[in-house]
Amino acid sequence: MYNLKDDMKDPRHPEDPLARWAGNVLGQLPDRTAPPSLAPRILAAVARHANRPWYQRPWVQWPVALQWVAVALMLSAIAAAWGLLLPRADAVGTTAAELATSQLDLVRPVGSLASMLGALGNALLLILRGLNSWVTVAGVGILALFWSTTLGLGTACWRLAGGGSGRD
Amino acid sequence: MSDPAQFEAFVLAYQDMVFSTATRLLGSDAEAQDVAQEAFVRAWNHFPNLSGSPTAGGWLKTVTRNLCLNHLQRHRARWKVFSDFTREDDEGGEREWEIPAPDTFQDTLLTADQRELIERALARLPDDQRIALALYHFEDMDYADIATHLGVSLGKVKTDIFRARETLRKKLQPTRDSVGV
Repeated sequence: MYNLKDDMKDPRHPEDPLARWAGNVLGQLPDRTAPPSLAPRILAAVARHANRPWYQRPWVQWPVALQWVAVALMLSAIAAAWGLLLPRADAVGTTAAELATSQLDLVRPVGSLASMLGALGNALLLILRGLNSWVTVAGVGILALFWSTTLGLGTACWRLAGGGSGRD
Repeated sequence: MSDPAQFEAFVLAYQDMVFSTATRLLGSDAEAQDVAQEAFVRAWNHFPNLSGSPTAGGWLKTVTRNLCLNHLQRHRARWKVFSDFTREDDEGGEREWEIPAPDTFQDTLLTADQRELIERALARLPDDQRIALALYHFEDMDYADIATHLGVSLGKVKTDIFRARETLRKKLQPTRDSVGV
């Protein structure tokens, strides 16, 4: 014959009557009924989530053309940074475009893309060369200072305000 | 692409479980609804895999629990401050572990009123006690796991759970004997 008592014992604490009692009592609680407003609210949130604009979605869900643009921009930024960090151009007298394209062996097979990246890198290098190096360093330093200050202050305010919920 | 009608059926099937898990951990219906919403939005992102899966409920429960723990973690500073206040029924200081003799507890079948009483008592427990108790009894986590997840000592987890059980037992004391099995 089915014995409810045996079924309700807490196997993790057979020797602890209070734990067993609590396991028995809490085990009898059914799921609480969700408020009637919950399902419509969830479905509305999911609809908003499904219809959000491309820039709020993960990169893999962007339109293909925008994915290519993003890749091109990222690679050009890398190429530009590469050109800045390796100031060989002045030493050997090569142009920035030659430097950028020569250092992009990985993307050379795509030909036109490499040329475009080289041109972008060249433009960026020309702009940066037009600036006094100390001005550049100071500018970057100030930006870094602003960024870290904002991050620090923002974090402190966020924590003081209760940590933020991160919810929709 | 997910089928909205199918997802709506999924929400209706699991919303009570998700809401129960969240509200018992968070102690707040409003916050539980926020977490439930987030859990189902995540479920939407994985719905092609979840739809029809026998593990969908377990996946959803785990996500809900983790979202609740993340939520509590974010509010940890505030949570600790408030949960450290003693309540009227706390006697202060380290309490002796008073485990009654085994025959003083009977397995009981709860009436609907008693279940409601327990739910209310659960919601009114101090946060640290309620969370530890819920993780132990509703989420089947052991003491060490709870201590790790909450970032507290094993002793505190045991004490909190013991106190929570004691509080619940006292709530049911007046009527417990009349419904013994």
